[in-house]
Amino acid sequence: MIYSKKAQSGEAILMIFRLTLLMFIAFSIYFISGLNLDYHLDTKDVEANILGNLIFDCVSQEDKIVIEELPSKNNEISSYCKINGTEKTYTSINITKKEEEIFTTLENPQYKESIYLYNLGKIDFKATKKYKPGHSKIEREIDIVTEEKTISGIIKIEVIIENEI
Amino acid sequence: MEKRGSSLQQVTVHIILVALILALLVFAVLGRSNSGDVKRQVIEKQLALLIESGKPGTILEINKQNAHGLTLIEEIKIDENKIYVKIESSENKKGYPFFSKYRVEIKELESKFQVTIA
Repeated sequence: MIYSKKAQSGEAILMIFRLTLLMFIAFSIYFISGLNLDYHLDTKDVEANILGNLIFDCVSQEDKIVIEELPSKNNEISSYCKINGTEKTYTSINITKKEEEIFTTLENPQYKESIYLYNLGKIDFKATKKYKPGHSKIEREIDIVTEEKTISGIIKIEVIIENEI
Repeated sequence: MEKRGSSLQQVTVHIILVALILALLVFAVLGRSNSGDVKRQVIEKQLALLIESGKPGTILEINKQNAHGLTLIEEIKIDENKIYVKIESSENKKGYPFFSKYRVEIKELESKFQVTIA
């Protein structure tokens, strides 16, 4: 028995179809296995904590802070502390009087502003990467040295480090 | 007889193509699941954490070979606050960023890499 030309071309089309189907299945397996085998070790929260502590050590000397010496803008903190490689990091520092801390719970923005001894504002950052950014908040009691006297205060440092992926 | 020969030829070509696709799939999945990528991530991130929390005068030594004497780390580079590690042909071309207050230098010795924080 000899295959007719029509039958041969039909067989060839069927073979192309089978191979396309097989390739589709193979790509699907590769894609699904890729999703499961994608391994990401996230250390950004730890890094944010290390950076927060570095900034705290930099702005305070033996648990004392001289506010007049601190930088006036968020992006000046890294250069003030001489930390390199902080392009993808965002920092905010707030210092409030300790005895008036209770009033931060009052929803009066005007009053809230008045208790800030030092305020570098909120971090303006929107996460765009696949993995969430590293985040750390440090809150400590500290002595604040002013011209007249030394008062007790609370320092809050918030650090966000953008993930590289 | 002619039909049998033609049919056999078709089946052989078919089997070869299927085997080729499956082999490519197996190699691609194996390449994806290669532990080199995980080891590279572990080394570069551990190194970044150690540098970030390191004090001046700290010297970190990283062996090139693993416990079985096989060469694991092929290359470690530090450039513009980024760590580049090459393990088992797995390499992150973008590098892993780190921050530090201090100068960080890396030196390649015979059997290890020496990272100095100064």
